[in-house]
Amino acid sequence: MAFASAPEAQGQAWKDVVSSRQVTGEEELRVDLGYGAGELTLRRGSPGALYRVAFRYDEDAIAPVVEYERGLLRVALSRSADRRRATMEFGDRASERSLELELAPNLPLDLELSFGAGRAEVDLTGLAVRSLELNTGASESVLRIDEANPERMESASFNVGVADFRIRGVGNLNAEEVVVKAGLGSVTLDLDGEWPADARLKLEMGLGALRIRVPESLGVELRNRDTFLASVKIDGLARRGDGWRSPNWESARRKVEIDISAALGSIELVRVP
Amino acid sequence: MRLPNPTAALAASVAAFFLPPTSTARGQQETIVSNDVEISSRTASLHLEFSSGEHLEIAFSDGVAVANGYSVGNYEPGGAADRAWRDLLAAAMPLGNGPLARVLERWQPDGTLSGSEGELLGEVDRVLERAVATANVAGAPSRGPAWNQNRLGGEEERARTLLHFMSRHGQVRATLEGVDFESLELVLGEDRAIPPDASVASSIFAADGTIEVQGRIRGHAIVVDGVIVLEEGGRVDGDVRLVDATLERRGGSLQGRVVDVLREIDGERTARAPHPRDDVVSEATQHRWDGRRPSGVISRVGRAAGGVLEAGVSFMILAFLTLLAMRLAGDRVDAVAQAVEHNPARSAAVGLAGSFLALPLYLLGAVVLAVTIVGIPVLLAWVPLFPVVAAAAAAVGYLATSHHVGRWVANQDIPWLDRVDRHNPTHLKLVGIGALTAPFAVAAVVRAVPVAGWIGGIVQALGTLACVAAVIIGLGAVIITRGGRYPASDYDFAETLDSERWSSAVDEDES
Repeated sequence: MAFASAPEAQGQAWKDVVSSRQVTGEEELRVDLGYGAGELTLRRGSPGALYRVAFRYDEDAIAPVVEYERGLLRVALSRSADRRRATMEFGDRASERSLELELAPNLPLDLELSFGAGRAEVDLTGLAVRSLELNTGASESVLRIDEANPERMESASFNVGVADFRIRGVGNLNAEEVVVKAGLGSVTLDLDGEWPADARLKLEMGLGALRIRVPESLGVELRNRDTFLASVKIDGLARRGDGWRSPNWESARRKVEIDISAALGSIELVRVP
Repeated sequence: MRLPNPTAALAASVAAFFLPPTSTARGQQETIVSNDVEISSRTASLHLEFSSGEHLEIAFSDGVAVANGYSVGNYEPGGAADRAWRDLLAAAMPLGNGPLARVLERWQPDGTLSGSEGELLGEVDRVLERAVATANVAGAPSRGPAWNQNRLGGEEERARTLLHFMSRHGQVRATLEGVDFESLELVLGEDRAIPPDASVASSIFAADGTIEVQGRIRGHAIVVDGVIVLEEGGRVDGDVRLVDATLERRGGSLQGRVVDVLREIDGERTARAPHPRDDVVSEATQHRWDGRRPSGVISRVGRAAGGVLEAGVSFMILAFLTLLAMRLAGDRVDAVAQAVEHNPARSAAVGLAGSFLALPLYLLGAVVLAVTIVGIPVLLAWVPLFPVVAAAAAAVGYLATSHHVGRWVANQDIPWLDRVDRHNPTHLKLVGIGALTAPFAVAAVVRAVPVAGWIGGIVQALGTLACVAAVIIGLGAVIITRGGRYPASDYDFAETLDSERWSSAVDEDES
């Protein structure tokens, strides 16, 4: 991030804003993030820090919102007061906007993340996520979690619009249920991770492509419903009734049930070492 | 941190009066709870919040440096002081609490800077030092109470130098306006009593203390973080200017004004500041305007009449087009109507697909024609004619569907529809068009009724849905029959004839 006075181009004034807060007795943190367009990064912060938000944006077009009160952090971008100019410039150079959000490690987190167009990299490694809802529009997004989430989640929910979306380490989410609803675009789920407990995946696809990568050690049972017009390609699973089941289903340490509902599009499941 | 010279130290001591007493109030166990840094081409600011609830905000903006609302100096944007401040903020950006405090504590402005910008950075340095020195942030160097440090010196000459400096900047000027610094009496951190028979020859500046006036002050009385008591018989020839201070009047006389400097500054700042969240206010105002549309009976009736008139005009236009179409190509329109009657589901499916495919087909056709040299002349016709043909197909489809709507309506037991010739396809289409446009007129009327506006909205939505369905089904029938040239053949001949025509023919034969 460039901190010095940024050169202004095409009349746009770029602004860097960093806001951070220390943990002062908080026992949990709820995060409500709304980010329209640009580049988003979310990751673990430093010990002792409750959050750190770093915006880079064109101040003539938009205005940031960072509000914290009683365990609730709201981070958003809204159009600036000059609506006419904001409308003209909101979409300009959106890719140069960025938002970095760092959150407290080892503090139970309830995350509601919504972002529209742009690129997003959400790294939940080292965070204690108690609930997760992620909504993304036309973005290229990656969510990764390289270590098992210490908090058991009841449900992790992902609503994907027209996006290229990938989750790496679904097994580390430590969620009883993972729900993915996708409209158009491409969704890739890497079911690697520690899988502290058995889980369910509910996948609802519209017209997009869904690719599921399943480690061979994981027991998987897949049921497809309402996939009459969808192209389904299942690799390494045996047909069983109206679904499929992995050969190691009975012996696998962890089992994952996958329910798929798809209108059109393609579904592909592959087993990986 | 650079050691302050005596003059600067005294400057800091007086500046401390103008800033919230962060260090003294915070005590020994403090942390920087939150920090905000903003950097743009125009502004570079730092905001700290301490666990005691105290705040420190230093902003360099448009050539003026301000600390907690008070001007501490001017700078040249892009100049050495501006760059030094931005460098400090850049270093502070990734940090919090202890590490941040260490960076702020150890910051040393460029010692080679001289003049007003050097003084400015020195002042900022001292304000920062005072703010973070006694904060018990992890690893921050421990220093004695800043307040005591700030009580270095005390010589009047230095204070005057300080006040001269401060008076050049921003809001402080208002506090010290009209004050003769050469003769100004300074009272710092102690009480001062002016007996009945005594007088102060000029203005008096008191901080962190009480002034008891029984005698006379011939100039202004400026009190910072203290109290001035005007006793019976006491007199102040000038103003009493209060900065976080109070005036107790027990009589006496005051020739000038009582000025609450902080309040005046806040008032000016509020007046200058842009209204917060103008976009939100604007939207709210817009919504309020929408909600406050004229609500009188006359205006409601007017709106209802306007809606009915609009629906009526639409009906007239469609009726004219119906007559024109029936005159020019009645057979084809009827063939399409037959297809609607006998294959409604297929017509709907084809119409839906046609609606979705129309635009891609249009674009694809244009591209194909464009890339082939031979097709370019056709492209010239394709571009304008395709939309016209599509619109005509949709209109004919609408007419065809309205034919059946009209027949259904005519078969209902509606008294004033007995004049309609049920065997006349044109009549039936007109009735159908009337039925399809009627919901919009009804909606306009219902919406004018208090409380029932939402029902009008539903009626209008249903009317819109009906029209869209009519167009889609009719469009499908147009496609199936190739514009009415090829009547659908998968039904019985007797059914292919319009039943009204058939009945009419039978009636004529019988007569």
